[in-house]
Amino acid sequence: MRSAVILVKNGIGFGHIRRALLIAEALQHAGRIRPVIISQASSLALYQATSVRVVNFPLLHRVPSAITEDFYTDLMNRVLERLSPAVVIEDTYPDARYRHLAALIDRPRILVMRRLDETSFDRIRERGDFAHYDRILIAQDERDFRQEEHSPESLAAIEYGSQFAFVGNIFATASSADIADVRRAYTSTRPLIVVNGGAGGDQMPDGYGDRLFNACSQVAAALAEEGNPARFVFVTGPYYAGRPLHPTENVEVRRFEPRLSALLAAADVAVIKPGNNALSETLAGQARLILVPDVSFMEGLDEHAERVASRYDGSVGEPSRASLEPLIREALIRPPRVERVGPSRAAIDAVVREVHRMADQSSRPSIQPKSLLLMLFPPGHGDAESIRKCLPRELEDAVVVGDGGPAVRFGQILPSMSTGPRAVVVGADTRGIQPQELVEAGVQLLIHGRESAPVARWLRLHPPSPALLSISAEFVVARVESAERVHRRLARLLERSASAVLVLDLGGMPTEELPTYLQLVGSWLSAQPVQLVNLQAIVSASAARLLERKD
Amino acid sequence: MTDDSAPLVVEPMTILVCAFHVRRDDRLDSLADDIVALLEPDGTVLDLSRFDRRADVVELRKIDRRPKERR
Repeated sequence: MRSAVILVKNGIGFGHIRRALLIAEALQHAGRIRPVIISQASSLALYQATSVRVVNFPLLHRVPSAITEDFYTDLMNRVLERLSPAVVIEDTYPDARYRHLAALIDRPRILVMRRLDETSFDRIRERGDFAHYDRILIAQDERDFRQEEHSPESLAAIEYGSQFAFVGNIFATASSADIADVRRAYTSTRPLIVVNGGAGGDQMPDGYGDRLFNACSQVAAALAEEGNPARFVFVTGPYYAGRPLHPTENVEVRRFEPRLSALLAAADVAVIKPGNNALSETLAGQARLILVPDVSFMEGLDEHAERVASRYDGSVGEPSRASLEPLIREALIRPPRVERVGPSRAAIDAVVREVHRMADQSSRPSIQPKSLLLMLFPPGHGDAESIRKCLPRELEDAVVVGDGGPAVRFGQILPSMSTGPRAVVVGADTRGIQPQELVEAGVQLLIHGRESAPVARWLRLHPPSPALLSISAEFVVARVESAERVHRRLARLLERSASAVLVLDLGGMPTEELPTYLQLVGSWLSAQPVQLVNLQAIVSASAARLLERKD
Repeated sequence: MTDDSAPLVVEPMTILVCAFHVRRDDRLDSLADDIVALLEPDGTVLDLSRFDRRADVVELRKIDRRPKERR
């Protein structure tokens, strides 16, 4: 059986490894490909009961000597060479180390990416790091993603390109029985407050964990003093390095709770760092949310916490008694949260499908012929429909501009009923219309001549969102006697690049000559290693350019 | 109560398979072969994260799946 390797690193939390395990276990269950996790982690705690194969390395960027780092990198490469994976799955952060491993070069690659803040997403895109993946599966709800403030270019790359797909959040969901069991184990009768700061690691030396748990200890002591029945469970995480925490009558301390997802779902009040997993697991239950953001790596937790609190009627606090005590007291008297995130296998199933598809595809690579988007301007005396009628079979995929189809000239009205991507052919005169109006009319692509400076300036002055893609085209005026010149132009154009756009202006062509002329062009093209492509293909290719490195 | 030794409590027991001296051994290929061979059956977890910096020795360990009474 062929292998799929899942490359994952954990820094200060467990989220990446939990996600990798969920994917690997689903792949193993499907039985078509053998998953192997290659991890870089300082704890094996989550692997205790796994049914998948794992090779764990230390975090290579933290290995204290260069020679040992080289040793590990070399060994990882040799192990991967022997595993010869049909598909490589990476988690969230594109890693140059993996990119340069000889054993992984030319393997199909998938990036499964949980939520990143907007700036980090842009930075990764502009560095060109997304361009190394065949598919990028965003493990986040699409609606949530769109509510964040992503740049127009990132939105365009995702919306119009073919690399990205939203699969939805991937997290562990506890069964109702597990939730009931864990609830019984901690308390059946008293209000249950669960406090968790992820796996307990610190991103910065700011004592977040120490402050969070000690603040909650003080709140618990104050409530106990008053005879408040609330019971606290502190799940500190194995990396917790704050002051020792003492259990009391109303506080239980756990360094590691393997049933944390059930415990969070069973809580009445959850005081948590809103990392991806703890938050998702809490949202599966009805706990009132108190989110205590910490400095994060590429997650922008402050803004994220505000958004989540606003959507789920929770609150955002700081890791101090002054901040948390009133929030906890208030949460204890509020009714349970109504909106919950239901368990779903859809996200994991989507990843499994993609891995299978990629593994099947990888056995038969193919080289695409050169692509040409041929756009036809109809003659002044004939309408677009009459041009379409006399198109030879070889030119059936040409786009007739302004025929009620997907492309018009600048200033013409786009038909409201057409579906799929739309394009506008634009010259130097961009007066009277704003780019955002085109976006709202469904336009994704601007096609312009070689002189693109006025169009670029117009876009710069009025940036739309998502960004409008733009591509340069060759413009040729058709002449009865000059079909061969069009052939030469195309040959020259496609000699230099894999794809091109040609706008053929049939404006001066007499009606009776049109069929013959188009037949000449069509016959010649059909004998060349060129395929006529539609707008969708050009839009996807243009969106992919947004993933290339900006120097 | 949490204390400094507590993180180890949650770590699974591992068995030492072999040690590799980074500056002396020259058998990376055979170590890679061993690792791949050891990855049977399902659920095998191999760990290379233990490293003695002074001795320049890397340990290859395996999570112990035997029942506790047989360890």
